[in-house]
Amino acid sequence: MDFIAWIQQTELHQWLGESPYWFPYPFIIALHAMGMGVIVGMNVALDLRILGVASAIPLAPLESFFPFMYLGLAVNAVTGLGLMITHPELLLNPVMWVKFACIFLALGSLRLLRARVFRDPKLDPQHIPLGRQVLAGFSIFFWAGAITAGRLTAYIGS
Amino acid sequence: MLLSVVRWTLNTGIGDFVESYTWMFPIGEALHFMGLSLLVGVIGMVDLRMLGFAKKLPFAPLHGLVPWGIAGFVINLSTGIMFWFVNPELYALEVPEISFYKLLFIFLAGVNLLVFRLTVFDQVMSLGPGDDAPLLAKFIGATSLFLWLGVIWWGRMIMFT
Repeated sequence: MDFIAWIQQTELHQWLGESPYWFPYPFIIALHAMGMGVIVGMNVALDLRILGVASAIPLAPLESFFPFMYLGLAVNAVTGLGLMITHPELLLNPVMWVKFACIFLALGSLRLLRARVFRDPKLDPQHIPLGRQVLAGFSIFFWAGAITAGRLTAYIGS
Repeated sequence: MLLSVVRWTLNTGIGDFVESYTWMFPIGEALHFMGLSLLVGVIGMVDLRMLGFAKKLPFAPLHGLVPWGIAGFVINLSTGIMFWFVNPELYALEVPEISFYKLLFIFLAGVNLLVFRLTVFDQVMSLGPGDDAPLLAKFIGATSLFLWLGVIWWGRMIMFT
């Protein structure tokens, strides 16, 4: 694909790939893992609450964690772009697109759950409707899928 | 000393067993990332509450999520031990300093947790909506965030030296 060849001849690609020390490439990789921990970990914690874990936690105040999740997401969007510029050939790997699809679905679920659970004042925090609980279950599944697909790109598809 | 531990590890044959299934090591890695997320996400939320964020949350109910953070730690301890059996030379001989720092940070996070339990824990557990945590709890929360993110940092550096 020409687009990949084009990325590979940019200075940015060379610079990222030739990291002689912990900067820039290992630094980007480490930030990507930290951002993942924040967005995935906090989102799964919210999913668990919806599923009935620690049900004494009131729902509305949990919204205060959304800025941190979105910070983690922003860190990973930027570092992810950096990783793509370093390894543009990953765009040809179908497993990479499974990861993208999982992230897209997980973020869609998060948006829906924010509106229908954390911002719904009529919701009884002890009896969350089954549909929303199923969505929380899928959210955990999508994040597990994103992580697994991300790791597997190192082994299969390219 | 390290060399003999590496030899013993290789002689157990556990690493060979893991490697005889091509899927086992990659799935272990994926689980290690899931465990990391659970640990950092749950413990991070508790730390942030102590630091003064999400103050409308009463502390004790939020703390009810902690067993899931501990589950993340157990997943990572198990998969981490598996990695050691597959690749002892990498950790002990190729990047001994980085492995040491990673283990040191995990140890310090444990000490930090012990200090938390022995000092402000009861006080913090009684925090209601809007209550501010004592200064020592804020210091412990910030230390915890720093140490666990540091553990991720060292873990990722293992692959780059």
